[in-house]
Amino acid sequence: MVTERWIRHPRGMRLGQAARIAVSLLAVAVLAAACSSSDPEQPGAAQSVSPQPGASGSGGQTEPADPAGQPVTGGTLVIGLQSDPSPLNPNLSTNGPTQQIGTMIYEPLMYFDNAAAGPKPVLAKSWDVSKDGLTYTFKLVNAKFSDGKPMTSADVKYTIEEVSAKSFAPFAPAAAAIKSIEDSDPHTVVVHLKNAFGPFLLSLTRVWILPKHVFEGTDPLTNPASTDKPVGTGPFVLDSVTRGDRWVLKRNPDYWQQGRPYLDGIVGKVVPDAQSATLALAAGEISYLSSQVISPSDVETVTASGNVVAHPDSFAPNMTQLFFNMTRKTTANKDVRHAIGMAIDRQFLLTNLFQNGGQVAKGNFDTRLKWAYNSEVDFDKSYPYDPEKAKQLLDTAGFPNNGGSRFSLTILVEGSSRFQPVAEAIASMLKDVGIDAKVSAPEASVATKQAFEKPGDFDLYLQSYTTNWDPALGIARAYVSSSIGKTFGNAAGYSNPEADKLFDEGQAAPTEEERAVPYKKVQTILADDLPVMPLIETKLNDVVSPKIHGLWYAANWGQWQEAWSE
Amino acid sequence: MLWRRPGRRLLNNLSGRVSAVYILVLVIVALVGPLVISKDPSQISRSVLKPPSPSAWFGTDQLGRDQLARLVDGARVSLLVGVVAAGMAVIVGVLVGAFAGFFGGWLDIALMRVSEFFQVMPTLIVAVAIVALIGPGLFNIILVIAMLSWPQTARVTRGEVLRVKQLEYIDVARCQGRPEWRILLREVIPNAIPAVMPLIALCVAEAILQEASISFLGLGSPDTISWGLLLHDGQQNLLRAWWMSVIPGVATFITVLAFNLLGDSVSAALNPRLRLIGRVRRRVKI
Amino acid sequence: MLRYGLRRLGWAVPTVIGIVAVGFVLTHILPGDPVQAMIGEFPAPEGYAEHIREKFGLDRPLPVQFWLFLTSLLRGDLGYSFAHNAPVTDIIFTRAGATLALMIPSLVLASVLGVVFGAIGARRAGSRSDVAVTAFTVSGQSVPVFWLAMMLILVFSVRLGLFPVTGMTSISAPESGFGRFTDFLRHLVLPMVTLTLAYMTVVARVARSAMIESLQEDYILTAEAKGLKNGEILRKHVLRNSLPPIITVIGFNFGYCLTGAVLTETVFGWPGIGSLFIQAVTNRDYPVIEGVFVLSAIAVVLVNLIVDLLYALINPKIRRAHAVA
Repeated sequence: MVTERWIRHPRGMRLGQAARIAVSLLAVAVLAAACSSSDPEQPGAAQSVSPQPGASGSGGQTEPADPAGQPVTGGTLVIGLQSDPSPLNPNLSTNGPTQQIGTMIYEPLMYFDNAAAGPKPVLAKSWDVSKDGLTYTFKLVNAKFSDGKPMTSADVKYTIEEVSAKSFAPFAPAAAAIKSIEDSDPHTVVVHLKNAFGPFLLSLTRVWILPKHVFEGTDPLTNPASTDKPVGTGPFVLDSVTRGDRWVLKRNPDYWQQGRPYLDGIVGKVVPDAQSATLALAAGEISYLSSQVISPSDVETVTASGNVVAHPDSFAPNMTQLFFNMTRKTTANKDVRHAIGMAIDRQFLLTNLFQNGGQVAKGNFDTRLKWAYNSEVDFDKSYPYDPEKAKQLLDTAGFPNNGGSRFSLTILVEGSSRFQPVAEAIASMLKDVGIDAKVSAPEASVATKQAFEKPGDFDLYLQSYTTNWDPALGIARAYVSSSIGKTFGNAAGYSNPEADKLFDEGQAAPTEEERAVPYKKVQTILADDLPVMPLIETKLNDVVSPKIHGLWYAANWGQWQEAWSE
Repeated sequence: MLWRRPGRRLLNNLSGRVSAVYILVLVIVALVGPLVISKDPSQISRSVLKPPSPSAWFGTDQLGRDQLARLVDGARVSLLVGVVAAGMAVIVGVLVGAFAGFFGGWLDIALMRVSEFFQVMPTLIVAVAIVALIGPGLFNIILVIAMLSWPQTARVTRGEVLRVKQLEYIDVARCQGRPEWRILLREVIPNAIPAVMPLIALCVAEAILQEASISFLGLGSPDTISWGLLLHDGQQNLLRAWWMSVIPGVATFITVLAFNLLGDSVSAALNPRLRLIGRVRRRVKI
Repeated sequence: MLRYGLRRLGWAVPTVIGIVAVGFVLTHILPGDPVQAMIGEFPAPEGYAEHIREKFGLDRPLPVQFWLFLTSLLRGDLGYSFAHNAPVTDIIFTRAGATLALMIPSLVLASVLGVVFGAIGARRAGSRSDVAVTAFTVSGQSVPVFWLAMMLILVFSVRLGLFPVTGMTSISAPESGFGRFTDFLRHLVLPMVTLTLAYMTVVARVARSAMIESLQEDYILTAEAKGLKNGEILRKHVLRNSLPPIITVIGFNFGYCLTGAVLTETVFGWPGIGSLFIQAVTNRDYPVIEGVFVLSAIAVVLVNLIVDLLYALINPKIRRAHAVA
């Protein structure tokens, strides 16, 4: 169960408040327009991502027609990092800087291309999946590690078995499905699975191939190639490091892709303070900032200044949602849940608190996972904002409003996060229908503990989950009974054997068409049971200088091998 | 006296009187205000971030909540925190100081070491850590503030008790065979109280500032509308909505100023030398 | 003199251990799991959390952990911060540098201006200038410093555009040389003004009271009888005799400047100890929280040492009294 989450800004959240002020300086007018629409370089990609058939496995470039002209070789970019990328080995940590810098040096077999919403080949030039979904065969490219040794199937086998399976949590579900890996032919990797696992290719996009000859027999955690002497196949190599200040990368002269990268180098500048980073970005001092550092409202203000554009494909879709505690007398009542769903004015939240970043959620599955979303589920129709109807429902459910309030409940939210005002607004909306709602906003780690240790210590819990681009990797965890009590799992404590079974089927089927059947079915069940009220399909954007072209996104991190600067 | 001018006394009297009246008005506003203002301070509305206008005198915040209603509600919380925390600190301080001064010996040394320890700790850092530990409730914040501000009263009381217990009538009481604790409670403490009086107002001022600082750092509870919380929200919208930070800031400033001036006036009236002692060890909340 | 200093230092030791212990206990009973914070926001692979716990000794009893913490502290090792991916000692040194770069100029300025203002007030107690000084100092102590900072930003950065809003340096600033220095100065102005105002009012108030006190002593009458001017009396007699309380308050200010200005640094995004601490509390970055408490302990020792030694220097009576005792 992958329960990793990308939406929250892990560090400096509280300091980020002032960033908002800082940034607004540069943009006198606050635009109401969605950030993405101010990006002229990426036509067609501005709204939700549209899968491009044929992109998967074909090596198709998804680079849009670039009005700025032909790529130019040369130039060095400065990008902002929130802290030192240590470890540098992306297989060891999901933290932002590690992933940003580490993935420039190490490469996976394939990427997940956000714009195409499908896999894109890298070290595997092609692959073949058997009909039963149990055998995956990958043909490798002729790539060299930066120490001159060739990259072979033995390196792939080693990385998957010895590193990813043991230390990279997001890979754990896929690792559990692997039976064996063949590396008899240096240019071919054959993976046998014990059982079909739908998101297997997607999981492999987060295995960055390490040189076996460097790592074998050492502790990957402490191997210098994991920290400051990396040996990878990627477009860039590490040139010099000043800890706490800058990580200088230069072009890999022996990169296996001819003519790439375009850039001479990338300087990762450590800017721990979010507000300084945002200001520096707006002033053009750095060319790129991850949405882990910059908050949506800051994105809105900096992009309004025109010096920066928001990149539309930055992050895997994620959803801000409200968990109902199924063990509490009130919220265990389905009618109460339905009533609360209708008492919340989600459009108000979207407009005033999400700066229109994203859209009001249609159902428990994100609509941006097009193949899995069931279009018959539409919360705009089933749970429209209707306080009167909500009151009726509560009356008939046995919670009449006798003098003041029907009952009281507590909304749990991470303190000082950008969700806190959302919780305050919801509390006020619930008061309108006679529910005495309070907000409890302890610090993030406390809130997490209260929410996920069973039975959860809350009535309603506001949290955002990434889909990780797959229902099995990002959505199921909120609903299946096996993730009750797990951190960033099923906070509601919802347990429905039928839903469990359908989620299992969806994970095990080999193709998207086959997987969609159980997933579509489970959505109607969830929409009625409503253990979780989906609020907003959130849209997070990285911001980048308009002079940068060719940057594209693999899952959550920008890929720079095609990038060039005007 | 060569260096005394009547202007000074006037300033003290005047400022003392003005601040007392202001505090009285504020207390009335805090008690009656929420009844007079029909708006619910946590009621959201669609008119978000509206500047002050006849319909919303102090404007609205990012959720469309009425800032006047929030300010009045906040006055209640800020005053409550100030008065209760200061009250607790003064009671503890007086007791500790009196015991230390009256009984002397190892008790004195131990109690004064403890109070010194509390005094040398960087208060805001400790306060933040403790609030993070015990959670952001209103009572918790009061407790933390009280816990960190009693030593000053303790020291002043101790000094006063040391002076009082030398006085003759204490000896007289002893000779009458009255028990020690009775002498302490009936004779010594009542006579030491006047010296502590000015500290009460100063403690309230400190406590209001402390609460504002803690809530400003985002450690308050969103359900407890205090001026610190309003300033916290105000900072987040500093450029979009100046009224959200300027108005609660001015309110906090004037209120703390009033308590400080009141304390100074009381101090000047009771004992002009005392202020020195009281002030030296005060630290800036930065 | 030396013995006196040593004696005072000896007194400080239990205080220091006490503060370090408070910090240690606070961080270890804080709700929230440090291991989960290290692993991140997903459940750890089987056995991984236990492995980390063991590796960092978090599975041992609290007193043992405290002992280990103290012994490694004596070696100058404060542990490793996972939120920053760096040894705590490194982080604290860097941040302390930033804090001092802000604090030292503010405090020097505040001390000088504070004494000057105090003297202006004391020179003619009750005069119009004295009323002004008193009003100024009381206001200064009543204004929430973070609010003052916000207002300065609003006026000088936003409306007038004179100074940068946040941070200590611009990314684009030259690596070294004069350009870097002027860039730093531009960032320094507003936070420095904020802190100077805050500290100055305290110093001025104490200085004024102390000087008025001295002015009431008999030797002032003597000096007046000798025909000395007010200004001369102030300089020659009053200032010297009112030094102890002034020194105390200034010494306090300097001692505590190590732990930074939590509120001011937060508002201005100054990368000092104060903002580091707030971040650390938010992230449950235990080693850093403990590090800041260690720093506070050092600050306390410094304060006591500075103040006591200066006292003794100014006032030979204290020295002799202790030499005898």
